[in-house]
Amino acid sequence: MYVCLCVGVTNETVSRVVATGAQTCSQVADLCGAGSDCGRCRRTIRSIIDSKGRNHHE
Amino acid sequence: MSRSTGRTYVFAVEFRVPDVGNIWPILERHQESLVDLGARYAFVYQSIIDPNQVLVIVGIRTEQPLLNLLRSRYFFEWFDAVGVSDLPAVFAGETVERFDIGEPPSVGTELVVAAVTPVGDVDDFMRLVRDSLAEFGRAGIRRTLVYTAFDSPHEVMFLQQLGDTEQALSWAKRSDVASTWLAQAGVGAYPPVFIGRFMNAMRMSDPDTAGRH
Repeated sequence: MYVCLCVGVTNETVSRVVATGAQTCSQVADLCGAGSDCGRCRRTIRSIIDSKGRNHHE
Repeated sequence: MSRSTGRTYVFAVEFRVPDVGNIWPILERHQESLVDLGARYAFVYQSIIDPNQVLVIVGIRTEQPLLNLLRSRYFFEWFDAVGVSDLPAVFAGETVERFDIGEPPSVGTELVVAAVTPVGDVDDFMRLVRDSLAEFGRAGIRRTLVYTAFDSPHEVMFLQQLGDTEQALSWAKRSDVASTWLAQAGVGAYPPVFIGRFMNAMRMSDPDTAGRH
């Protein structure tokens, strides 16, 4: 699925950068561009970050 | 007359709005922009779990590349118009196969169960779907559509049409087959499984040219 329409970034790409250590929307934006333009996808990006954090702690 | 060489895209997006009654009038007002994109149809479903949640599916045939469509100002205008500030993830793909299992529901009455889910292998998933058709029929599923995502070879969207609410709820909540598909629903960017009722549909006649924007 496309998470960031402005830059065309997918949930898989965001998940990958989160797996490498990105823990904030700004860090995700720096690494892959998602959320770096209009910023309206940041809530979705946050949900991906949070879900990866939950998986890590399970 | 030359035949269009464009590609057909299916976009699906689920979101919550303050007033679901605004969705269709707004889409109708923006019909021209839909046509401009190359849209051939638009379907809107309303969740029976959360009445302010809707699923919109748009089929677009265009020569434009996918990223041009995603960046189209039209998408942002539509979201603005219906009152969505935080943009949800958008599924973009194409139809793999459609299975008509039983008598289709009367037009305008169908219930749908839909979800986007990661899969290990699309071919394996399709084999599972074909092997499950008899079970689908017993569960009251009349039609199953499967779409593959353009951005991932391991992501599909499935949409199943049923005749009534009880069957739809039972299938989504109690089916062993459905539970394996829905394991990722509601995780991260994936929206929860959508169970909803048809609201409205728009079909556009073939344009003279492919979408220009």
